[in-house]
Amino acid sequence: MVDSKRSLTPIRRQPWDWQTRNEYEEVTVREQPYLHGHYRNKYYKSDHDIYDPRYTALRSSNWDAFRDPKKYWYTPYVHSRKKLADSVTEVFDRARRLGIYYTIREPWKSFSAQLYIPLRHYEYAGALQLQHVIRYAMGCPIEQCATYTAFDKQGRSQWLTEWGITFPGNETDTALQPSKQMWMEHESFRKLREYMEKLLVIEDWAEVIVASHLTIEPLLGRLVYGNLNSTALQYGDVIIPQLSLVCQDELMWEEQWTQKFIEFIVNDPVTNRWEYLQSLGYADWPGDYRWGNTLSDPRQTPEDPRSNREIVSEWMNQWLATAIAAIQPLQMLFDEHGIQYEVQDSIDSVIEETLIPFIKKMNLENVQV
Amino acid sequence: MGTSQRYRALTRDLMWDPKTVNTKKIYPLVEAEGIRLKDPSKWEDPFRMTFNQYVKIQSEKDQLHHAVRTAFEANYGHTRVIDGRWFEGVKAFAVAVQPAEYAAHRLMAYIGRNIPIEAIRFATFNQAIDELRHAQIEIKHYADMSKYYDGLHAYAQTNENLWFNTVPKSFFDDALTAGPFESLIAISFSFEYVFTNILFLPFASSAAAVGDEHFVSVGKSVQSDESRHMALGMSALRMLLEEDDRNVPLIQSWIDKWYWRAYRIFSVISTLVDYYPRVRPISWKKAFEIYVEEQVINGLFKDLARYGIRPPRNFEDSVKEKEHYSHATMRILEHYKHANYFRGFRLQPDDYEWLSNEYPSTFDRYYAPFFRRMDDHVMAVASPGLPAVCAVCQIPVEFPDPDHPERPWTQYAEHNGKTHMFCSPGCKQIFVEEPHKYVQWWWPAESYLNGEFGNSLEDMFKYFGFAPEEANEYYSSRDYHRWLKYRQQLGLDKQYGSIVTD
Repeated sequence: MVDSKRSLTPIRRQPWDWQTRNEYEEVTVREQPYLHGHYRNKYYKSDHDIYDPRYTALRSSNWDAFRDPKKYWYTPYVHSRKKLADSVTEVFDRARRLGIYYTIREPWKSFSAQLYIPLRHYEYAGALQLQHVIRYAMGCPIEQCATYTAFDKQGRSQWLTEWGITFPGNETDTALQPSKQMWMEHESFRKLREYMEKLLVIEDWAEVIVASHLTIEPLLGRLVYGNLNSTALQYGDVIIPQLSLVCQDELMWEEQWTQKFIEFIVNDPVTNRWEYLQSLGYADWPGDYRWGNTLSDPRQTPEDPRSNREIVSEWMNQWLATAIAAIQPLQMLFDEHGIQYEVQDSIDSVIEETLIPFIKKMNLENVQV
Repeated sequence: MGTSQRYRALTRDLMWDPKTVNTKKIYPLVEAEGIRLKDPSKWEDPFRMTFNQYVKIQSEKDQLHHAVRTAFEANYGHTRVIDGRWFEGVKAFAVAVQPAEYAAHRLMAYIGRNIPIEAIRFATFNQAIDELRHAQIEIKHYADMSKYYDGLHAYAQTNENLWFNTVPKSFFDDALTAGPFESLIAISFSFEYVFTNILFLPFASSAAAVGDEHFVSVGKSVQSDESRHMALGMSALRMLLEEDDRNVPLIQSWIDKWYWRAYRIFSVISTLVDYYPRVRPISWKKAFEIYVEEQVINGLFKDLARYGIRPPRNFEDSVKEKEHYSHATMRILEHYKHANYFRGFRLQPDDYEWLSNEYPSTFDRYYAPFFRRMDDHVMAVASPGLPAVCAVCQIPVEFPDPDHPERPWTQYAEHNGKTHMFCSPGCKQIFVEEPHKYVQWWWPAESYLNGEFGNSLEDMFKYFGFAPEEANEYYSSRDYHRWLKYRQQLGLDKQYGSIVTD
């Protein structure tokens, strides 16, 4: 009970002049400055502003209007990941104490080492390229999601490594070298590795999000952290399925915010960046005195004639086909070890249950699946 | 498996030599600055933090801090400090430092993405996410203050548009637009290693001395992350120096530039140590002697001599300036207090006494007469209009030459037929070495004259994100009267009789 005599009346109910509905918005909205950057990049796109709408082909009337469906800011994010990290530690600890690894049957035992340890490289490369997104994306609401997702990927890469050095390798790091060799040289991983190499040179930050979270991740993530669980259990492996449940939590959020982002961007009717700058107040300035001097005039910026929806559709088209082709060869690894599983079935179910409904909902025309 | 072997396994050998694209396309900036790397894989991250350890340690630390914050807010802790003028200093800190933390967050991600060294990358990534934490706990800090006091309610707009905020903003924008190695030396070494102790420690002790527990907790919680960042800065520096002798002159030039750049943005911190707290645990001069002269110049730079690294170019100037720094800076703040979201204040008798004791050779002679002019009228010392500022650090060009304190230290340089003005030789040298970069600065006064801020003073304040009543002098302000009223409502000023002991 608050004693009314001992409570003070604030001079304003909201801390900020702009409306915020919760703590997440309080600490996220307008955190990134949009105006009055001081200098241009010395070595990269030197005619761009520090935070510039031209780092992506997509256009928005208000980059700050995006919201994370889970409302993660640092505090809830780090608390939630602490719980996940604790449960991974417990799973590994119990498995070790119970000697579960010795009860896991072949051929799953050697197969799982060859499938899961190399994926540490996949997760790591995803985290690396998200750092490009963190630097160049517009607005805190979007890049904050990329930040936590990148950290999740770093975490998964470490969990897979820890699993790799604890179980199959028996408390040494001897498993890591052969698994890197698998990643580099084995035909089953070749296309996936090449996919990640191509991802690492994408310049448009929004395309990175599409190529990483809308195509390869649903396909691979659902396979290795979901659909394979029942097979693992058949061979007595309860470690991978429990680790997978934790990873699925992270992947679900990643997919949720990415889909929300696509929804946000394809429904924005703005077709050029000048309109966005006008919304920041540039319209009232009869020519920023710096344009032509140090900045290129955004009115002169060539705009992509395609709509956001068309651009996203083309990205999806291109990357989804490549992603499917990158996952399919994993079948070879299953066949080599004699694991009865059809990778194509997993791909088909992801396309059917996740991607097609999403593509329809977003009206992404001409995406071939 | 030992801890360090395990740490190595978790964080190394994760990237690979790509086969389908050129490595140079993945790391397009790695050769741009002329840094040479031979075998950076031997480099170690001194903190050896894994993902699991990070989230466990940080979530506990974060929970502790927010518990202190929640209690402080519930008990109206802001009414309990010994003098409400302290919050004017906190406002200055808040709106200047928080956006800097946010910029550092984007910056550390940029460094980690572009430097192809895995040990550096995980450490910089931890720091990138820490910096977001700092920005957000600082926002939470003043979100509560904003409900009771002026000046903070449009902090993001103020940060974008106000002349005062161009100081820290230009510093971080400078690093964000540099190459990744310069950025690393700028932030991890020059800023974190050399200066964060003096940024967070004396100000946090002032906060404790005046009874601001929330701010104490912000300071401590942030500083505990900074020790990791400092360790990163030190290792990164040694690594680059050891990798190739040809890196040494380049690193030296960055240390020279960023030492002065960082030192200058801390000018306002000197007033938060010497002026704003009514009870002061330490003076700027003493803090500078301990944290910069002793620890950095006499300690660290002695060790770095074996690499051929000498102390930063202008460090002697900063040593000479310690007798003047806080007074000259406070004088600037008093000059322009009508155009700031935090206030100056009329010095009280105990302030004169403390300043005179701590600075016997400079305060009474050069500065007290200036502050005395406010005794008759609190706005007597205000300068009309927006200040003329240094083209590098963007602080008003009003620092005295420490060798001749009666003369200004202002310097000039010509570039492309235009004269540019600087606060000190340190800033002038920075400009002369990279004029094409520094001519790109955003100068609010120029925007104002170009009509960007609107047609009237009212428009200008709207653009800044606060009203004229939120500026000026503290003891004649509505915030002072609010603070008194809050205390009265809570019964904090009630006088009790003497204690009966038997």
